[in-house]
Amino acid sequence: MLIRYTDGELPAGSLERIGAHLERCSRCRLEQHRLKSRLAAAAGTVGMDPCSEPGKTLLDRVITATRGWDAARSAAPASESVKRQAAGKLSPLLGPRATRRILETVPENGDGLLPAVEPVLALFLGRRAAEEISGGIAKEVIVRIW
Amino acid sequence: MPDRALPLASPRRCVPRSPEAWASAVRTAVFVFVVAIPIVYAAWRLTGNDAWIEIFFRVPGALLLLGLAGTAFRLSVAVVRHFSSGEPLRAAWLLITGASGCDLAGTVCNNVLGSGSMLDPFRYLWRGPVPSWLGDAGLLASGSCRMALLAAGLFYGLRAYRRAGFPGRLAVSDRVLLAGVGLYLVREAWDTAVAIRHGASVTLVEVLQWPADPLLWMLLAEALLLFRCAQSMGKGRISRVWQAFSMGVFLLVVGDVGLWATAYGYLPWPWSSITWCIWVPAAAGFALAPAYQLEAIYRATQA
Repeated sequence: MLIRYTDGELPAGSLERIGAHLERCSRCRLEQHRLKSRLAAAAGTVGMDPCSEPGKTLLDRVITATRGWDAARSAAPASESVKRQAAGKLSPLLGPRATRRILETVPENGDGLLPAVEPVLALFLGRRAAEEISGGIAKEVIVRIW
Repeated sequence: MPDRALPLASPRRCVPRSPEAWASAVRTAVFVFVVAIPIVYAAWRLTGNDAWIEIFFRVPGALLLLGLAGTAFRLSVAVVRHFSSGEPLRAAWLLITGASGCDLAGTVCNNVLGSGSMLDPFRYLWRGPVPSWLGDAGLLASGSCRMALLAAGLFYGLRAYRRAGFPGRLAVSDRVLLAGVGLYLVREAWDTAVAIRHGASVTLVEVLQWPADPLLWMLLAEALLLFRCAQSMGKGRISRVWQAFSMGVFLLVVGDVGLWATAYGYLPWPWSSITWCIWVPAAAGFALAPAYQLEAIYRATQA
């Protein structure tokens, strides 16, 4: 209700009643202030310009900006994270130089990580061990991140 | 080469269970042995009693060599089980296991049976002369047979590195070392030829042992290549396996050169006894390699 009041979405009668109540009730004024602060902070986190899209309510703008930020995050940084975490698992086994060289061939979106790594592991540790390590990477690194 | 000893029938509870524990036990045993060497040498020089050196190498040294050979064999068998048929390193580890078995047999035949030490059962059970074929069999097992199997096994290891895209390249120092050992082989062959021309008799076993030194040169070349391959991957558990083999082979070569130098009088007593110390760290290299391989597999699958 307070959000809709702050956005001016309520009918005129309700706006007047709530305004009159806020003048009298210090607890509700404090709650309104907190709400405004939190929404402004959320808008800042997702990189939303509070003055943009004047036709939209503050809540709509925060939700839109959050979705955009989430989509942008999943495009590149996640694959870097997959590679980094996979490197953390592989490096003690294969050695840092070998791990770096193998992961160089993996595209940025993280596709083909396991097919690149598993044959090398299978060569040195056996197929069964390689499958277990790949399963572990898939479960702990790829699934957790995506 | 120093005398070696009978296998210890360790109680089950004393046998390390994890590969890390095996590797740690091997490193600790070799460390204690190496630390004891200067103490024993000092005691020998101070007292002038040869028994210090003789007993040290014939009993604890021999027991350690036998323990290391047994460990290498046992762990290599365990490694083979982790590879399915058709996998390239299964063939490598089968051959390495064969080499370890030959080494174990050679250690028993050469350094326990008929050694005359307190570990020799013939000393207590057999009054007559020890059958000479035992020593010959031991020489062949730990010489040509072991070298050939090990060379074939390491070749598969090199092939695995090549397939993985990490082929090693010999450095200039490696080439110099190989050339030096090559010259040593030529010199050794020349010395043998001279000895035969002067009427030295050659037995069939000695002839069968002739390939051992060229095989050792080949092993050194493989070991150096494996070392460079492992270096190209960086410090990892897999690299440690092949670096341990490289260390073992390198020390074998040093020990072999020492034996030749002693036999032909280039290394006089008491300096020649230094070569006896080499066999234990060399054997440790061959025992550590399968321990590291198992450690890599266990750590990888249990992580």
